[in-house]
Amino acid sequence: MLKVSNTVSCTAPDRIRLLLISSRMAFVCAVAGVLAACAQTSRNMYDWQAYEPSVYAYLKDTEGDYAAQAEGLEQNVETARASNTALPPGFRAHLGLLYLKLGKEGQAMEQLESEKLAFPESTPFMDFLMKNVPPVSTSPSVSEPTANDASQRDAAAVGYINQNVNS
Amino acid sequence: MMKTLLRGFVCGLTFVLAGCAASPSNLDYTAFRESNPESILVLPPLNLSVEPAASAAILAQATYPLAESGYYVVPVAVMEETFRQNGLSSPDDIHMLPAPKLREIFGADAALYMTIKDYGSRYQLISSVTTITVEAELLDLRSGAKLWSGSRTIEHRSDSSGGGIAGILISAMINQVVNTLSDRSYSLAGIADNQLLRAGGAGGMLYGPRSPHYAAQ
Repeated sequence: MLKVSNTVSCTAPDRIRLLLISSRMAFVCAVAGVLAACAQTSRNMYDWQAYEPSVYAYLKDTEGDYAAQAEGLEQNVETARASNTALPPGFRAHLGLLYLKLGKEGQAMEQLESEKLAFPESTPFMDFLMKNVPPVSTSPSVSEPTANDASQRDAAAVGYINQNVNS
Repeated sequence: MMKTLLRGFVCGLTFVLAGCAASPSNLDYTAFRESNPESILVLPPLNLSVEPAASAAILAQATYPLAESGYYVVPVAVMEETFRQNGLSSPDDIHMLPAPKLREIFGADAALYMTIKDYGSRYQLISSVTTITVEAELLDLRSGAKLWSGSRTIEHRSDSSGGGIAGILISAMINQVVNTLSDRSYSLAGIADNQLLRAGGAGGMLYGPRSPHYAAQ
């Protein structure tokens, strides 16, 4: 009838202290574990210096300073090359878009091609874009393309894209 | 005695983990694993907040967590320009586009549909609170299957202190003005995107094929 207990009996205050100690231990362990899990302990795969700020600037203000944005990205290309870090997905295509806006179609096409090379997943979209930009003339043009020429080319591209997207 | 230790340990664990938890993880990753997407198209987000600048801030900063998680992310500005050139500027219209059409043009395996539920600063007497809530859903563009969904709320409270009650009120108002000038909201949008979209967390997305963590998951 009397149960003989093998365990050491714990008084109430002892129990409370044990609870506190163990929960504090757990807290410390868990924080360390959680911080390690939540934190990005590994290096980034890509160089993010200029890309997202440039994208944000473009999205916010459609009449922005494309030349300045392109220059920022070009500088990032150099620093990434110097530190042997890869450029993020979409970086080159975005630079290509800026070149298109600046009337530099040859350079734009180059960027779209290198995007394909760096990221084969981009092939369908890059092909779509390249199809819709009128081909660059092989002979060097005598004069710089004017802003009007560029917008006419854009408009021609728009017409073609319209057929594709809305069909 | 052991029981007490254990009980305390479990309590301590639960308390901390709750702090870092993402949305409840009843997620079944079967469809995600089967789909195994390599590329993601992040569509312009629906913006239900009162801040028009929210869309650009959320969209621009979604690439980083997804790319670092191992996915190819379709360039968002080029995508938006493509839509714009085709008369599609409203995210509502864009979200209604059929998956096969998106797949045909952008070539992505999956599309991320985001909604900004809340974005902005509120002046609350003696402090200013910036809140950002984003939701996202990842759909396979090949099968139409839903692969993943998640939601995140970020709150930043800037308390004012010192200078008596007048000082507190004035600095709270200043905080409010600074907040609405968007730099702090922009950084917080980046944090919201990162917490929502970065792979590896509880209830989070899986790693993509380009990630060094992909093979182990």
